[in-house]
Amino acid sequence: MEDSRKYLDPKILGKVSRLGIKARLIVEGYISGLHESPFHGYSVEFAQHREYVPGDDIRDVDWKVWARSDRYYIKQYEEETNLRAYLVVDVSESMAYQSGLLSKMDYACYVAASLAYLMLRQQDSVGLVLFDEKVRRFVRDSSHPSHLKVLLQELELATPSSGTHMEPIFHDLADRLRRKGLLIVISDLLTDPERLLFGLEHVRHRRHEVIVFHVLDEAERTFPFEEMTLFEGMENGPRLFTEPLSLRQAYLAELESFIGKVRRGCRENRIDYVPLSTSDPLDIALSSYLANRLARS
Amino acid sequence: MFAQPLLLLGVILGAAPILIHLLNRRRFRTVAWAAMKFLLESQRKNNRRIRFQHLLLLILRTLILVLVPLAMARPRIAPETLAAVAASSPARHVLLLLDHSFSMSCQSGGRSPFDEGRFAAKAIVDSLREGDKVAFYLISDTAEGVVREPSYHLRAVSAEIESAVVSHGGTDIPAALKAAAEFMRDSSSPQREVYLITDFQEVGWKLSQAARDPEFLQAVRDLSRTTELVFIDVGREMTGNLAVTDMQVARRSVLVGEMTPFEVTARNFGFQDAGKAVVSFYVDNRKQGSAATRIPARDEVRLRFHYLFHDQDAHVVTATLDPDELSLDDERFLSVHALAAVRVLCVDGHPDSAQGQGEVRYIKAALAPAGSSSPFVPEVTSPSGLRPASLPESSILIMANVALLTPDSLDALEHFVREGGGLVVFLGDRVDTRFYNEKLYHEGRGLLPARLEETVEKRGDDAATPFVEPRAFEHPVLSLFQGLQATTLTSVLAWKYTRVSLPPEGSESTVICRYSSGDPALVERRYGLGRTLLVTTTGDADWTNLPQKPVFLPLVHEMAGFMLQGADPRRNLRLGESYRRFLKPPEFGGKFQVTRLAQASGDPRVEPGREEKPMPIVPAPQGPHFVLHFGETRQAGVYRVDRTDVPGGVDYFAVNVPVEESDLQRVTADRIRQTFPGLQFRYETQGSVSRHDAQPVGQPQELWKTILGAVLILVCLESILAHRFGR
Repeated sequence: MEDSRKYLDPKILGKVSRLGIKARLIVEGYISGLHESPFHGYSVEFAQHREYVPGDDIRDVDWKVWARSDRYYIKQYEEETNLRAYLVVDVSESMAYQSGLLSKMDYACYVAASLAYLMLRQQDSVGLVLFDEKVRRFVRDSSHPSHLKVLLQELELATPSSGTHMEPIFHDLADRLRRKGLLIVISDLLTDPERLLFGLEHVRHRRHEVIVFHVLDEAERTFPFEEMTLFEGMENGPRLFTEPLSLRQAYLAELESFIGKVRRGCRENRIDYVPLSTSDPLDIALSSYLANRLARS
Repeated sequence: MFAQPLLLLGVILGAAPILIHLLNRRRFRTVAWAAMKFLLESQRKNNRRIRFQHLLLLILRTLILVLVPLAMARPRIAPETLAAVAASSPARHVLLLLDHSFSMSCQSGGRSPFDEGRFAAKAIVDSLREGDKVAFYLISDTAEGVVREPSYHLRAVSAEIESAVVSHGGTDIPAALKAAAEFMRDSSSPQREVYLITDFQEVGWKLSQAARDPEFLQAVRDLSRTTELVFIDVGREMTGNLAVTDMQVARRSVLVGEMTPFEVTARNFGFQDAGKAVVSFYVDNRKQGSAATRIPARDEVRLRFHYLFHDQDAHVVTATLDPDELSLDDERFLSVHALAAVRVLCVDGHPDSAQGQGEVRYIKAALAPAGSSSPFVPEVTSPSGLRPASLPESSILIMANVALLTPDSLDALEHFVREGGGLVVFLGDRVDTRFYNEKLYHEGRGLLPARLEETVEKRGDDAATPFVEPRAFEHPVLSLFQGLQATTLTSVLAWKYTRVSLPPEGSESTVICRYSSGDPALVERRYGLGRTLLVTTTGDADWTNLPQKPVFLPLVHEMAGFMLQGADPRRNLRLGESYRRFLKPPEFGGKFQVTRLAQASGDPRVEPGREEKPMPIVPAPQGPHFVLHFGETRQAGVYRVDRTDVPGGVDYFAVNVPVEESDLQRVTADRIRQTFPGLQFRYETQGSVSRHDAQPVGQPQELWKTILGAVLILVCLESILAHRFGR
């Protein structure tokens, strides 16, 4: 049991090459630490039948109806799955920052992959949105287990580039996602907090639940630099040549102020805000998600 | 100016922080940074503060590295610069103490330490500015306030210094420093300075005595804490000094027609044997003889001169050495009063005893033996004849078996002895022991040297009490009999005597000899200027066979001689000691004046030259007497006392310089510091004063300690700020 839990440590997980395996190791490692399984207790309520079309899962065919009417009908439920969730992952250039083993992007992908694995395993429907200045990839949600492969592939292929404009992204998603669901935002949120919160507010207005995983690098949280340093801004930011020691306190104060503002805005909009550091164990994200899921049920 | 100018090259180190700063700017790392927004914002908000902190630390670090080599180069600041700095400092409160003891008059090359001292004192006053205040004291064995209250009139103080003269007094530096501490105690000025200008003569510091004086030690601690103390040494290395240190009449009485011996002591205070020294002897300013001698280093010789006085009068005797660099101690004066005879008043307490010959018949016979010349002229009187008026004429008074005295007689007797007379008391069966103990002994404070107890009587063989024991011959009264006791004193018996008890230890009573029983036989004490001698048995043959023995005559003469003073202590005074003379009744209404006969006088008794201005003195009543009192004796020399209303009645008294002041051996500043660890002072030399002609006194001030102190503070400050600024 201990062996499987070790993969919650980003340092160890970094040695595993394939994202799919990583996701499975994370989730199983996490689950093995729980006293109870998170997969029971979800009821499935029948809604209607519809005619089978090619491509539907043959396991969903209602064989009793076929026996009576010799027609292929698919059973449809009130909700086809327990949950419709979208993983909204930031792939802007700032996510490429890396002071340790993992970049923020790596960490975000592990979190996204493991959440996707977990949700698909409990038959939730999962979609994926990769964005920077705009939505780079949009994968519609699906609860089919094979969908995991699609999601993982998208995540693996994602390369950080360009700047970040989150507000239009959320307006876009609010328009696109008509049916209410869960938006899991994984980002460093390095954008204007007022505009970010304005976008999130729009999503909330469409009755979507939102969890924000705020991923920051450990160096961004502690600012450990001492020597004279030329800081080159990512996402085409300016350069700054300074002695970091003299700025540390002021920088940390600025960061704290930003986090406080976002945290406050999220709380006001009933959004779960989860700060993550690239050095944190990955089960924090899973725990936060499950806590949210439990609250919804 | 710098003591080690080469080390100034180390100042280059001051560039190190700037170079390190520049090098650090060249050696940097590049970081691609995502959270640029926060960094830029913090930079924008704190830019000025960070620049200020950078600059402050850079300045501190540069200063530290510049100041360390600067301190090692030992910079000095010139007194002129100090004066310029002082011009912006608070007003100074200065006390000048100028030693004017006579050792400061030691001439060399036309200038004396006192001249140098005045020069230094004036230079200090010249260094003061408007608003500073200064007091000026001349110190010797006393402190004489010339400008007692701190004065803002610097020119007036300078004029006082210019007109100051050397005194004839000794030196007492501890007393002067105590006075300075007292003086400065009331000062409210933050800038207090005491300058002591002296020749650093060792005797003046009284080192061993002052080191045990808690009051002095506390005073100098207080003074050092609140006041800048500067000792300016204007003395010179001692080359040697000869002085006449003493002159005495070498016998008890100075009588007309008798050769009077004088003993002159000359001392060499130097560390090398002096060459031939000639001591000259003068009486009434006429040279009577001279003697050449060689005086070993730190030693003295005694020379004897003789003179035959032909007239009964006051005389002045002078002994001189050839003048050396310190001339004041090369002469010594003695005032003597030659008498035609010594009057001895014998008070017979039992005139009718022994067939009307009285108690004093043996004494009288011994004082003036028939058929021989004696200096003593005995007169016999009864106790009732003892009157105040009869006493000033007498030099010695002998009481034999006197029962008691009237209060007037008692007062007169006390006054007589206090003023230099001699009293011999024989006991007997009529003596009122209670009266003697209450009035004459008076708890050890009266005339009698011992308290009378019971009378002891021994019969038969016990009466053979040896009168003296051998150890007693050390006393002047019995010294004549040393070696002769086998045939003289041992045959004396006393079968009856009064046992006496001595006052507690520390009194002036001395037992001259004892009976074999251990009880005192002869006891003497000083009383005022005179003496009293108690014989515990009778003056006739009632209790002892002493008067019938041949030894009695020389013994009485020795006792009477012991009562005489030789040179009259009332006429030979220490410096500052008052002249007092009780007048005879005919002089009561007289007018008197005192004239100091300085180096020159028309009087035949002293060297020709200038007389100082006479000072009138008025006789003052004191009980039944009138007394002449004159206290202005701060100058050594011979003083003449004249009666101005009628001719005659001239008297002389002599005042001599203190002997110890002749020792010019010097003490070092280090020894003073070792002796008085609590005394913090700056030592300046005469040379440093002279180099800065009329400039502020002082050697260039070393600044390295101050700079290192500043470096220490800067290092602490840098550490605190660097920690606070996060660097």
